[in-house]
Amino acid sequence: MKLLLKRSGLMLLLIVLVAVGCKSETTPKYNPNEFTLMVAASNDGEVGPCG
Amino acid sequence: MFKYPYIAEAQRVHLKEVAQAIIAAYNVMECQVMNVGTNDLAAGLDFILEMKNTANFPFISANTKDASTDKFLFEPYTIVKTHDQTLGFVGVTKGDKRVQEFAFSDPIEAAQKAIDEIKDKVDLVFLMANADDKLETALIAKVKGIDFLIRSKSGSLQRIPKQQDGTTIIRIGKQGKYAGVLKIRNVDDVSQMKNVSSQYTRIKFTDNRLKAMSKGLEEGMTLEEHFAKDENRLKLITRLRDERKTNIDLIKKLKNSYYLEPIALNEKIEDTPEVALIVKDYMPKEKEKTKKDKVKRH
Repeated sequence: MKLLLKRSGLMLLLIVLVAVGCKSETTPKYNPNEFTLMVAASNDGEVGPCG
Repeated sequence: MFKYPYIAEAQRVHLKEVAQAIIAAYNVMECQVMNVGTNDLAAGLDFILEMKNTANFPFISANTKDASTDKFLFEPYTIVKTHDQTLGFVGVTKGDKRVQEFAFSDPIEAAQKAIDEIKDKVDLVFLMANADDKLETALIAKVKGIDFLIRSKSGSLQRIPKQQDGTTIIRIGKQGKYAGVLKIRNVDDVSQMKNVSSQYTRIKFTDNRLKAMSKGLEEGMTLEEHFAKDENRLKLITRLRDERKTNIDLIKKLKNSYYLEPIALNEKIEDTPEVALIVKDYMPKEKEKTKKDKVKRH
């Protein structure tokens, strides 16, 4: 996963989420019962989440 | 999308362009859901509906209404599927009289109603709350069935999330200073969610050490083979591998667990080119202002 946005001067008041399956670092399979969310909350001007 | 629940008329055009940039950036990032906060309504009804139509992801709010019709404006929840989990996201906001085109129903009742609708269809319920401390406390005390409460409007980042009455509270701060990576393992619906941050931190540490030692390693060769004549290194490798395994086993032994990794969105974070382009296109005035400020300072 890579962060997509840094300080940008953007303005927002929200939460954004990206839900992705969680892949094992050593195998390309998804780990059962695991997942990763990216969450962000912002209200005056910087950033958001990742994917 | 806005700093306050109102917009100065002189800034209206510019701030709306900024909001459009935010949604365009979130589209690139493939966001899955946005809880509409009260300040997001600052530019009025037509604008938020325009943004909702522009977005490739759902805007949710279980308690935001059109004041003129008293009808709810957004879906109260959305359901996201991972490879083997079904996740329910419900959104509520505190509301504010200054966003006059909108009305807000009771967020506690609205959250409970939405959760009751989805609880049998999902593995976990996430309540996204644009709430102050008082509302957060009330939501936790009165709404049943929240697995994770993800809060915006929180004053500061809480690195070790609080758990109360079966709910884990994620406060990721404000002003976009942090993004939170929330890793969740959910095996059953009866075991308590345990925070395994310290185990993940140690796994990360051991991985980094092993990775550092692997630099320059010939292809196909193991670390043990490479350091065969270095007893101290071999001992260290064994210790690191053992520690990694111990922590992984511990996490696996716990049925339900989570780990929150806050990531500071500072200058060290590299911009993704597609998003940087969107920001550049929409922020010419900001750039000019910064340049002028720099000239003034010199």
